[in-house]
Amino acid sequence: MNFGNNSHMPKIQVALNPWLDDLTFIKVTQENKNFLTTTTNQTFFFQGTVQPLSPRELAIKPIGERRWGWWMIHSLTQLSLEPGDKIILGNDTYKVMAKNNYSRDSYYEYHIVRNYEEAL
Amino acid sequence: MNYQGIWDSTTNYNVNDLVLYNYNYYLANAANINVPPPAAQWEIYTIIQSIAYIIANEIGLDPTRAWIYDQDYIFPTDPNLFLVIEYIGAGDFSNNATPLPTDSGMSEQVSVLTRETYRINLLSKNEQARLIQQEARSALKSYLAQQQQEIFQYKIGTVSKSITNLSQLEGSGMYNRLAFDVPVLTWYAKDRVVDYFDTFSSEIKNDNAE
Repeated sequence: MNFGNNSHMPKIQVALNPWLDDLTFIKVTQENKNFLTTTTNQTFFFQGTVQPLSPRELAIKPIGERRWGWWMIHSLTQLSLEPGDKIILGNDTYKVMAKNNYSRDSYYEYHIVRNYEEAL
Repeated sequence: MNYQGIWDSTTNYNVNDLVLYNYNYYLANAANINVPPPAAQWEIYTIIQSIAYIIANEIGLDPTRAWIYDQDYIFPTDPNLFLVIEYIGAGDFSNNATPLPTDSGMSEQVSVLTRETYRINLLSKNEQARLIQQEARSALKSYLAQQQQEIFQYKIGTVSKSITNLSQLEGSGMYNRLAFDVPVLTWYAKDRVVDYFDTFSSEIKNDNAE
């Protein structure tokens, strides 16, 4: 398999370019000081897309989870997000559930799910 | 933590200075002078934090790996030891109101003498929780524990002789969880201004008046 850069396969980054939007998310970070938890909000700007999961990705999830508020973020740059992180996107709180590194094709993919417990 | 006694308006306080003000303890998170607590420069500091401080310090645990239950705090992802301290409950010995005449009028001190129970939970995915449990219990008899009890005016009672293995409650989390209870004798008080007898709003009928 050729993992080089000379392939004539279409570049996903090129396909993504017309869809890109200037987006913002707020990362909610917990800190523990004097045994008490405080949260801090840090704002990140990035170029990317937010889309629902594909039917195929939904189909492979357990039946109950298919109705959860899943979204997929594509970004050209690596975001400061790890599975388990809590973010605010738009007016809603989400939890990062998966991170896929497709840097070879110059993009990164994150799966987030709506955190109904902290519905704003 | 540097205990500076009763809060004083003329003292320059630095970060981590601890003061007593209106029967509560406050820790300075910023240097200040003449800013009485509660204020942004002060954070209230309670007995449960003092006990967590003793144990974390004596077993050499990073204080950011110990917290009070339940603050929706996300567990660390590594397999090493962390500590969660719970307030289980309290039983009162006495409940009092004492009149306090002052130059400006009448006050009363309401107070409660109580026995509180705290539960120390030691958790780890590796064997650390099991290995550190004796050290955690003995921490409560340490020199630091004596100092903390004097500052915060509480007394740690006889620590539970048994330690409970609650690992099965963690289910698929697969944590080693060992817990023991700590009884604490302490008191709480509050001063309140009360109406003096001649400022009562209701009239008292004088039967001798004609």
